[in-house]
Amino acid sequence: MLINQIFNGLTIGSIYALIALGYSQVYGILGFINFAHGDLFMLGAYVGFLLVSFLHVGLVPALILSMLIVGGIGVLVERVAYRPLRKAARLAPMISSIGVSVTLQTAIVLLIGPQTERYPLEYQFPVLDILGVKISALQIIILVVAIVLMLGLELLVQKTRIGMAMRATAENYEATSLMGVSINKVISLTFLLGSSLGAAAGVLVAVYYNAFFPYIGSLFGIKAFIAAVLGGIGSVRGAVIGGFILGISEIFAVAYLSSSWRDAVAFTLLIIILLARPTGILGMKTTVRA
Amino acid sequence: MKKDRIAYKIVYCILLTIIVLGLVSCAPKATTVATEESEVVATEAPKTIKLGFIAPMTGNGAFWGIRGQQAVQIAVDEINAQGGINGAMVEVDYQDDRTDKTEVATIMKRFVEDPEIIAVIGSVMSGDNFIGAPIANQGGLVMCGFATTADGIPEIGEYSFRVANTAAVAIPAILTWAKEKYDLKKIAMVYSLNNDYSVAAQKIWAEEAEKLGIEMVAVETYSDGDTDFSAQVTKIVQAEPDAIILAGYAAEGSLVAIEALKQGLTVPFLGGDGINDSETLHKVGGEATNGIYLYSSFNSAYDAPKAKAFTEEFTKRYDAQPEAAAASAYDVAWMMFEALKVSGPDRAKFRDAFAAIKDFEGVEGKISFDENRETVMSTFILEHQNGEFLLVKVQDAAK
Repeated sequence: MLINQIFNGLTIGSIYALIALGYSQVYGILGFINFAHGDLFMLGAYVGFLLVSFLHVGLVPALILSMLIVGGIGVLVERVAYRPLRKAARLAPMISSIGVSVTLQTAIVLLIGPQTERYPLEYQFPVLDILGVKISALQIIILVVAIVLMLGLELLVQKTRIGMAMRATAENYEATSLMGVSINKVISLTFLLGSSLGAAAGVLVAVYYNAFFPYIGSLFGIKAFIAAVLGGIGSVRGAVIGGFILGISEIFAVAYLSSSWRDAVAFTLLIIILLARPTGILGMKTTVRA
Repeated sequence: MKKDRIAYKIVYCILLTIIVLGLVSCAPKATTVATEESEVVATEAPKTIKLGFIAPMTGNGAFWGIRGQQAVQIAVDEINAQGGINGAMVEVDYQDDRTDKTEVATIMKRFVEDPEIIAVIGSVMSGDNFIGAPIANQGGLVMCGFATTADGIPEIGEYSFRVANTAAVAIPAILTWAKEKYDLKKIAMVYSLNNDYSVAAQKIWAEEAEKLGIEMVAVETYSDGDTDFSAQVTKIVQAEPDAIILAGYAAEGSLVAIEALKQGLTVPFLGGDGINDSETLHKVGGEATNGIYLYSSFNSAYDAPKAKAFTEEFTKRYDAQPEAAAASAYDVAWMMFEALKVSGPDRAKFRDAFAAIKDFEGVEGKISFDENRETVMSTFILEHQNGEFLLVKVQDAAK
């Protein structure tokens, strides 16, 4: 029972973590919250759905293609909605992102409809019996995929030159620009990575719950945002830790208290951690930029 | 339908002319025939009996309203083909309330003020009855909803009726059936905390399970719109129930079924009218929702002679399968005809005759009103399979 519930928590936590990375990355580099990120996650579920239902591609190619397509859309969104506002007031791109969020949701409602959709999967994932603990194979697959993607991002950020450019941009935007790094390319890459991880989470959620709808982005978006803040916004590891903590504590609230405590626990946790550590668990000390 | 009515009127006028002419011409010659026929003319004082019909026929709930109207028209054509009620033809004034509260009030006031209207069939939306029935009650006019299951409709007043398979009747019926079939000893339930219907329904499920001696081993909750049910289902798996009650709506019920399948739980599911939505069950739940049992007041597969004839006629006329709203509307119409045969066209007498109906043989099985005008009727137990509801059993009312 306890181990089962921990697995339930880890599964949902890994999904929160994947989405949280997108919030965290964009905040780290541009210093604003991309409210449309939850809807890029939703878009990921829908792109995967269209690929599987109409082009009959397998689940793995659908996951990869969905990541690429939504990554591209993320880059496009930045070009169209955020880049022209980069020099404007801090609030402007945030408002613009709310506009993008509404646009994406409405577009899906108009194109596909407001109803709940599901993947047309014929096969059932088996339930594995590991030392007496029954765990769905699907949960393990989701965990593995999420962890592989997160490790990939961590490696990219820490070990490659482009990752170094990203870290430098996050540290000091102007100085990095003066060093000859193309800020626009770094920002585009950030959106590409964040959006494609969100899309991966979208496909995983759609397969896991076998249900998604145009407004699912706001639901998961807000939770993932909490996870990002919890772990320390701007930090890759922080987003991952925040996601897992949130997922497990939510599941425990439902399992041992009541489902009505689910959101209460999430927000209470956020308040406690922010009181104790205002920058989140792994948050760096914020350098106030002008 | 309009053409039918005009045709009837024409035939009726011609017949009447012939009778009158016959009387005038025959009277001096054959007095024996004349006395017989003059009696017929005398008892025919009201040439028609008018009923009101109120339901949404556009907007929200229009599907059910139109189904009801279509079914009532079948009943009216049948009674008129049989020669009407004691010779008087039945006519129905159909009104569309658009599920609009002010529209309901306007229409009901008009019905009350029209002395020719003897009773009102409708609405199919419980909310409309909460607005309309108090007006009808004050005006001394019977208003009888069809398939309006909300609590408290008969309690509105002496003139407020409904024919509907309420949870208080249907839940004991489905639980009794399931207990026998699956030897239920332990049962689990999931319901939505922020859904009034679900919160009310779970109380009845819990009470009835206790009355039947079925132990409730797990009661798990969620909120409408939730997508993650893993924690709740894991707890239910641990409790090892013999069946699971879905006390909420179809969308969340389907997700619970998917999660249960994912966690390898294969016990039967029972649900109420909240999950009576084959489209959602099939679309959201897929194969996971196949085999879910639920209750209803009708199913077109019912092969009792009356139901079969009704389904055939309905399908022939409208190219669609009748469902609970159509069947209830049809039964209400015929119950009113039966009561009218006894009472004649008098609102107060009609009310007493209508309230006294016991064991009426309708297309939904036997229907009675209890002393509080609440419906006592059979429960149809259905099984969901790939977007279709199959009839499993017609369970008689426990009382």
